Formats: sequence, structure tokens, C-alpha cells
Amino acid sequence: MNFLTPTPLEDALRLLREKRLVPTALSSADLRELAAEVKRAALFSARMTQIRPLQALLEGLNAMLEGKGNVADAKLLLTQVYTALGYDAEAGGFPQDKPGTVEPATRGTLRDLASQRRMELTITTNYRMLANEAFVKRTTEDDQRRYQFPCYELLRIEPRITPRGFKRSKGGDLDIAPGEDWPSRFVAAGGELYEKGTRMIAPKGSDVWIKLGEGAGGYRDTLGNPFSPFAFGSGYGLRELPRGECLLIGVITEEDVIAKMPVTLQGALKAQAKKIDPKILAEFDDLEDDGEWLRLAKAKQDKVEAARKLTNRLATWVHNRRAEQAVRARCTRLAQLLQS
Amino acid sequence: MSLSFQIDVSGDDQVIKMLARLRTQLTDKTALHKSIGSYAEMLTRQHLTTLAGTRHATANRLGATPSGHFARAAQSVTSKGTEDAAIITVTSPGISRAFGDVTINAKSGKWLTIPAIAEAYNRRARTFNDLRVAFFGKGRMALVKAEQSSLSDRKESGGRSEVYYWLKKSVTQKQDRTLLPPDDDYAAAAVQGIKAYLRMLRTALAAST
Repeated sequence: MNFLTPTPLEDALRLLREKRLVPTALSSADLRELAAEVKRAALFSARMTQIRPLQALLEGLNAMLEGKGNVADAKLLLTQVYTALGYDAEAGGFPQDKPGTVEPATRGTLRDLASQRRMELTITTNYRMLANEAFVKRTTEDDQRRYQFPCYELLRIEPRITPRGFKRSKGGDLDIAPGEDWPSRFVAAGGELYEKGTRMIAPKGSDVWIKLGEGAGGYRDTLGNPFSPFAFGSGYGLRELPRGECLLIGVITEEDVIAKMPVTLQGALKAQAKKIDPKILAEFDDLEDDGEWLRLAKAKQDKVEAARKLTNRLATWVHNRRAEQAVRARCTRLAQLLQS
Repeated sequence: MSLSFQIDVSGDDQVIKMLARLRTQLTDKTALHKSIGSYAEMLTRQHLTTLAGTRHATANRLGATPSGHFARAAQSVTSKGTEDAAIITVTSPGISRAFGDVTINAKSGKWLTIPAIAEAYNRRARTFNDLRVAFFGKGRMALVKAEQSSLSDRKESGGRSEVYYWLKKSVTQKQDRTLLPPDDDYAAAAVQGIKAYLRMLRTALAAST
């Protein structure tokens, strides 16, 4: 591998630059009623009635997508604007707003724009929406990519303390919340589960992804997009599946439209293939399925990670043990001094 | 900082043989490199996603909620093929540590703020309005709650100060090659990309006859 240059996430930056800043007094529930296309063309946040915080959000996201900033930097920008505008959640938001426009909110909660939780949710949700909209566009609109990777799998890509489909009891235990989990939502959206009900896979461009984002089945926490995050705070996302694996699992067959090679791609490849010695192509008659190598790579990676964790735990234990011995030695010396 | 890197598969016999035969006859190598890049992108995404689920050393040490840094890095991975190379891009601060030690220096007249407690993690010091500089032994400096800033205040409270951030002029993060998949795995991904490309060529050829 050769290291080259610092590089921004161009596709997502382009999407961000096309967005209009839309201040609004609407709540999350009200915003849900707006068409997804309208929301995708705008940068907004529930009850963010002033344009300056939206400009700060835009600036923060821009820096993150350029690889020059992080969530903490974006939160600082927002905090500075909230302070300058005199924002006070408990007094009903911004002093510039007409009284009564925005309901007062308890400080520190998600409804308080200046709370750490709310700022983090706003920044990370917008970042993920931009990155994943760009990902889905790039991997769906390109003929070669779609042919080589015809399906997406929905799976966990970010850890969560309380995963969807569970709730915390008062004692802190995880209890099942029936019907809230992603497999239930996926099936409600018309998706099919594969490999003994363990994998949520559907072709790229399938209605399943649209319905999942729309909350088919009556889910009210979705964001209206055919890309992840499909719901607020969700740790689930999309992964592309290679053609061989899709055919092997049976998500698609060679006869499906999604499995067919697009005409333009076929033309370009045909022209290229004719210039290659047929003997070279014949050498690769038994090309294997391409799913296994990734599973092997992951298994190896998991072992390395487990070994690394074990080493860290051992190092911590040794460190603590040495510290304990040092304290004991000091206590013994102190006891000896006191006795003398 | 973010980075791009190109996959150099020299050193792997199988890949070299396959590529050498092909390269001489390809008039346009972009599609081949795009195929290799797609598989390498997939591998990199999966690797960073695994890290997102397992590595929270700083957050765990401070008892803080993980910042989601690796998960965002995974979602920022892209790839493209050019006539000369397959290029993978990861837009995420810190990933360049995979290629060597990274030294971060404070800007002139400023300090780096290193979080010391959960409340300070994933948050800039300037978002607090009640922190002051405190001096400790051996020239160490930190930001503590305002009422603990003077030595006499700390003496009154038993000499204990809750440090929010340690102040440093520079920090060197050691190289961590495990932030990206091993070279062998990239070579395997490249092989898969080549195979997939050849399969496409054969399919296109079969369709024309």
C-alpha cells in the first residue's frame, strides 16, 4: 500500500453543499409528516428556529467530511453560537423567537438544543445520512459496482448500550421489546430473512429499503430515507454483498433483472475481452465464490483483536499488581518507621 | 486528517501472475482497478466496523460513552479505479497512524487538551466556562474546576483537584498498523477483485457469441 494524500469525502460534501438551511419551529413528530425528498434537500433540526446554528452545523459537518474536524469541534461551533444568541432551553429557546413559538424544554434533555446529547445526535445523524446517501448513490448508480455487488445486507455497524428491540428495566437489565427489533421491521417492510432467519438482505434499489426508511409496519422513529441510519440513533447500516454470495444464498438468481449485466457495461467489457488471449480467460474456469475470503479475513481479525485485548488485560493486571505491591511496601516501611 | 492509499500487490505470487498476464493485454485498466478497489473498500469497511465494536480504550479508561470514531471512519471509506491504481480513501482523523507515528503539535501560544475524565471526553475545553489552569509537580499543567485552580484552594480541599484536561504542547501517537487490515488481506481482496473482473469479461464474451 502506498500512502498518498489527505482526501475529503467528496460525494457527501457535494450533497451537503446542495442543501438549503431551513430554520423551523416544528417538532420531530411534525417534521415526520414532510416528504422525504423535501427533507433530504434541506439541513434542519427540530425546533432550531434560527439560521446561525444551522450555519454552524453546516460548517462543522463540512469540516468532518473534509477530514479536518470531528464531533467535538462541531459541538464547539454550535455551543459558541447558542451562547452568542442567548439560547435558554428552559425559557423557550432563543430570545429572538416570538414568545410561545417553541415549548420550553428541560435542560440537558434531547429537546434542549444545547445539551451534549442533542448536539451529538444532530451532528452524528446528519453526518451518517450524508455519508450513507453518498454511499448508496455511488454503489447503486454505477453499473459495474451494481453488477458486482447486487445486494445490501442490513446489519449492526455501530455498538449501542441498549440495542433496538430491547429496553432497560429499572434495575438496568435488558428486556426484550417485541416487534421493535430490526428483523421485525425488515419483514414488515417486505424483506426476506436468509440463512435461518439471521440475515437481512435485499437487492439494491429494492422497495424494501424505501419502506424500511418510511417505517412500514407503523414505526414512528424512522427518518424517511432508503439508506442508513433508517431510524433515529440506529446502529444498523448497510453492507454490500458480492455477486457470488448473493447467488449462493439465493437472494437473486441469474434470471433476475438486477443480476443481468447492463448493456453499456457489457459492450465495454466485450470490446476489452476480445483483445485478451482466450487462453488467459480459460485459465480461470473455476473461479470460486467470493464470499468466503471475507469471512476468513474477519475470523483472523477477530483472533488478533482477542489476543490484543488479552494482552491489554494482562498488562493492566501486571500494572495493578505492581502498584499494589508498591503500596504494601510503603505501608510496611511506614509501619516500621512508626514502630521505631 | 484523512488519507488515500493505493493498493500495491507486489510480493504476492498469485496476484503477480494473474496481473502480469492481464496487464499486457488490457487496453483500459480502469475497470480492473475499480473491481480491486471495490473489494478492498469492502474489506476496509468491515475491518473498521469490527474496531468500532471492540476498541474503546480511551472511553473505557475514562468511563465515557464511546465517540463512534471508528464507526464513522468505516462509513467514510470509498474507492475508485484509475488507469494506474485502485485507490481507497478513508476520511477520518487519526487513521494515518496506520502508516507511522503521528505527532500533533499545539498551535503557537496554545495547548493541546487531553481529556482526563468522562465529562471531558469528546468535548472541547472551550465548551466549559468554569475551567482554570492549575499547576502540578514536574511542570505538569491541567485544566480544573475554577474553585480548585489555586494551590491554597487545593490544600483546603485536601490537595485534590479534579483534572478535566491535561495540557500538553505536543502528543505523539505511536504507529498502529492494526487500524487497517493486514497487507495479506488486501492482497486477498485484490485477488477477488481480479477474479470478479475476469468473470465479468467472460460473461460479456459469452453474451456476444
